[in-house]
Parts: sequence; structure tokens; C-alpha cells
Amino acid sequence: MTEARENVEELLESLAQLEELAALDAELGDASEESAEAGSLRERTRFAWSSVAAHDPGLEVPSDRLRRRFFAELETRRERQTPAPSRSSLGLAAATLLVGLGVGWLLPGRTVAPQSDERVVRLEQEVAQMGQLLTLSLLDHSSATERLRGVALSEQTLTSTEAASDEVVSALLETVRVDESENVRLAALDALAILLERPQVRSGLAEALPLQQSPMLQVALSDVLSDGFAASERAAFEQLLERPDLDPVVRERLQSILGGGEL
Amino acid sequence: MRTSRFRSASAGGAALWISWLFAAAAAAETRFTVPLPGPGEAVVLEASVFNGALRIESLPAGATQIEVTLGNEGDPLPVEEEQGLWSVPAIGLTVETLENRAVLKTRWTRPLIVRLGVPRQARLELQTVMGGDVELRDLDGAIEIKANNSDVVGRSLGGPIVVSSIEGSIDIEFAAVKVAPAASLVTWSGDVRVVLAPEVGVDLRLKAVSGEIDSDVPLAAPAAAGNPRQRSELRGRVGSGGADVRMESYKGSLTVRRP
Repeated sequence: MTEARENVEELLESLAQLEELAALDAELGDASEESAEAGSLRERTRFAWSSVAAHDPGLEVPSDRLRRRFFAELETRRERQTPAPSRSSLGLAAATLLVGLGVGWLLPGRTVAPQSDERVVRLEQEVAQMGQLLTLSLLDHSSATERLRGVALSEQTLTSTEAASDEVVSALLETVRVDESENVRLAALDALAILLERPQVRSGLAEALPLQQSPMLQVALSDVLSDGFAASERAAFEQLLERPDLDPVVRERLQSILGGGEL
Repeated sequence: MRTSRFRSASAGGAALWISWLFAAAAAAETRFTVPLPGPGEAVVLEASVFNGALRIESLPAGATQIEVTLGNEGDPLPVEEEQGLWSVPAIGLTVETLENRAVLKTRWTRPLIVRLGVPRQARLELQTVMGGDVELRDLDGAIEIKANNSDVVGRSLGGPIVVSSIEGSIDIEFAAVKVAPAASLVTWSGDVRVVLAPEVGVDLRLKAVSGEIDSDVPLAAPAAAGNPRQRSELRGRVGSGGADVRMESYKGSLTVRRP
């Protein structure tokens, strides 16, 4: 329990640093329009903050201490820079360097500069690990509200990292298969729908289809798998069609998919 | 007043008086209070109603009990209590408590109106089996509902809410709160209507397969809309975003109102 709390506090600390980076990057960019990078980073940190805070409202954000640490680090970097034509331009250059390195590491698809800050790298890794732990923990919660929060958090993870965690994907597939809440299953399906190019996801969803009793899930899964379905998915459609109690709407939709009709 | 009316009663008046007596008898209620032993801790209420209506509203601040009112016919029914298990044998209703968790079940096949007063922050897990509407008012705790042939109506709700319904509409109005609560409202064949909390950030995701969407908030299709399910989705944002509000109906329409 203590370890779990320490993990969450560590995540909070990492998120606070990310938030600082995003805010600073925005300040250094076009003042009238926040950069897309800063916006993306801000969005991710904002969402993560809300998820963590909702998970444990008793936790307090260690913002003051972090802010002091962050700017102490920034000051150290300023002093390393030579020559320095003016204090303001030095600060700007140092901050740009720091933020550039940090954001470069944090955003997907970026090339890593050899001289980049290892601390930011570690920070990003820690945040990713903590985020995945938090996601898995929420997906396992007894409350559907919390599991929905876990799905929403997983969407952020899946869209913001190049290599989405297999563990998170497996947990989402399991959620689609057997979660007792229809709402959570639908949300998990939507989160996975962006990863259909992964064979693991397509086959997992195809396996989940015949298990569904809810017509809403039957239609939703069929629709997601309808584009370019393979033989195994065709078998899943046909297996569902064999059910005598199948809702007529679902039956018609499945027949349309198998017949190549317009949905 | 009643005496003078009785004295002046004609034959028709007497008939009215008798019918009033029957009406009064028919409106009799059975009431009992279920105390919760752990004040200050989160209250969880699970309620499963086999057939009938479920109406839940908040008790005054500081309440640590659950008030149960049954709209049965005839005289108030006998209520038994033994070691945290409350029961109304005549209609097969039980309320079992374990610390601050209460589990209410009815197994009566005839329609029964169950009214519950609960602490405002209570977490509710509700289920209707054979139909019967669910009405909620002035509640701030998390609410999860599985409804079957039931309409769900919520007014002045301040907490997150998750509703899935097979046949039935969902109509939720949020209270004015500082942080918007999340919501997931799904029905196979019914309309879904939401009145958002004023002046708070919300991210909307709406899917209506064969119904229409009417929204005060501008909506747009997401950038990556590949498969038919993704193509049926519209998204919108209020303010800088925040709580996820998901609404989905296969056969019904979706309505979003912003005060």
C-alpha cells in the first residue's frame, strides 16, 4: 500500500515536471498561439493530472517544491552557457535548450539528439511506466466509473507512444471480452479501434464477438471489424449469425457485412 | 371541516367520502430506516428492483442512514430486522447491510414503487430487472445503473454516472458544479438527453447509428474515422475540455443542452 502510494506520488511529481515543460514551451513559442507540441503535451499532462487526482483525491500536488527544483536546474544550465550577451537572452537560450530536449524526447516520432538530457528520458520512461500501472490498476477496479477512467487514460497512452504497451492492449482486450459493464466494453473497443493493424488486436476482437450478449456490443464489434476482415473474422460473424435469438437488426447488419454491402 | 362535510353529505357525497377512504387506504406506505454504522465513511447502496419504480433523492446533510418508503397498497406492511438484515416478507424485499454498504433487493413480480433517501455523496449501483423507471435527484456520488425496459431520469446530479439500458430513454441534468462529472450513457433503443453542468469543461463523444443528434455544442467527426463505428461518432468540446461525456444509442436520438 505504501509502495503504491509512493508510485502515485512519483507519478504526480513527474507529471508536474511535464506540466512545467509544457507551460515553459508555450511561453517561449508564439505568445499569441500555443505551439502544437506544447498543446499536445499540455493536453496529456492535464488529462493525466485529472486521472490521478480523481483516483486519489487525498493526494496533494507537490507543485512548489517541484517548481523550485525545476528552476534550480534551469539556473544551473544557464550558468553553463558561455558567452552570455545578456541575462534575458541567456535564460531564453537555456530554457529553449531544456524544453527543446525535453519535448523532443517526450513527443512521439522524434529523433533523439545524442546530447539530449538523460534525466528527461528517464522522466518520460517513468511517466510511461507509471501511467501504464495506473491504467492497469484502474481497469481492474470494481467501479465501472473508475474502469472507464482507466480506458480513457489508456487512450492517451496508446495515442502518445509509438509502441503501446502489450500489457495495456491485453488488458483492454480482456475488458472488451468480459467486463460486466456494457459502457466499459464499448469504451475499450473504441480505444482499441485505432490499433486494428495489430494482428493481436484484430484476432482478440474477433474472439470477443461471439461472447457478446448485448446487441450494442455485437453491432459495435462487427462494425469495427468490418473493414478488410479476414477468414477468422468471417468465422466470428458466421458464428454469431447462428444464434437463434439474435436481434434482427444485428442479423441484418452482419449479413450486410458478409455480403459486402454499405453500412 | 371534515365533520361539516360529512353532516351535509348527500347519497352522492357519501359515495365520494367512501371512495376517499379507499383512496387513502390504497395510498398507505411502509416506511423504515436503515441506520449505517460508520458515519463519515463512503456509503454504497446496491438496489435491484424486480418490477416497479425506483426513486432516490438525497437526505439532509449529515444523514448516515437510508430511508426506505414502499408505495404498497393497503396497510403498512410489517418490517422485520435481525442482525443487519431488514426485510418486508409480504413483498419479498430485503435490505442487507455490511458496514456502510447496503444491498436492497425486491423479488415481487407486481409493480412496486420504492423510494429511497440516501446521503448525498452515496455511491449507487442500481438495477431494474423487469422494467420500472428510475428517478434520481440531488445526488453527488458516483452512480451506475443497468436498466431493462426502464427510463432513467436524473436531476441535479453532481457526480459521475454510468447508465446502460436495453429499452428505455436516459435523461440527465447535471447540477452546477466546479468540476464536470464524467458520464457514459448507452441505450439500444431509446433517446438520450443531457443537460450539461454550466461553465465547466467537457469532452463530448456521441454515437447515434440510426437516430438524430441535436446539440447546443458544436460537434465534428474525428480525424481518423475509418470503420463504420468510428464514422458514426461526433465529438465536441466545452471550454478547455475535461470530463468525458459519452452518449450512444443505436435506434434513438441524442440531445445535448448547454445552459
